[in-house]
Amino acid sequence: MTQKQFFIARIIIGILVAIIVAGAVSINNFYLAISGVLIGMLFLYLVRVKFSKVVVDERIVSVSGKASRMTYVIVTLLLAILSMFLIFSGKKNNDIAVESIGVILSYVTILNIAVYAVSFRFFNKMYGGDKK
Amino acid sequence: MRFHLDFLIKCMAVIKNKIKMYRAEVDLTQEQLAEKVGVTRQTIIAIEKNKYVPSLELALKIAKIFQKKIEQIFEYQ
Repeated sequence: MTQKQFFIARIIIGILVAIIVAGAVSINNFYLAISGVLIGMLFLYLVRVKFSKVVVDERIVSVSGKASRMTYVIVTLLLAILSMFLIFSGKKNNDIAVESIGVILSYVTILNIAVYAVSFRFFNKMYGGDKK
Repeated sequence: MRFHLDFLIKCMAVIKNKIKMYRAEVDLTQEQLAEKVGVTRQTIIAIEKNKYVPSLELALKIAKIFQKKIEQIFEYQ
């Protein structure tokens, strides 16, 4: 299997999964959506096994690490600003729904930071960082 | 973030390599070298253009392929 065939196969599987999930959602069939995603994942795995060449290497890992860090910073900052804005705006206009959305978003922000902190601690320990 | 980018640019500027020259000497294509060291061809291209500094492990693998010392291939300027 060539690299081109591999990428085409991945795109076709992605489109098929999207069609199955969209169809399942439109007919309110949760199990069909889940099985569509699982079958898609299985096919992607089989295609990757068939394509014997390296797909992910240290440069890709390094690039994805930097992209993840930037995504984390941007998303956390935006969520924090948005939740603060919604909470204050809800309080000012006495709109409980807006304020609730703000509170939920602020909890999502905290969860995001907590997951980052836990995973950072885990990987820091794994790669021999200080235990403090 | 700015410091991080500056550091990366500084790293790219000071570590040069002669992979292209040695590859031509042993008549290896980028694809073949990539396959031998277990990375993608894009990574070999990035290393040759001094856009990416490889890990010590990858640098040692490349040196082993060319049967040279690591400092003969990678030069700290």
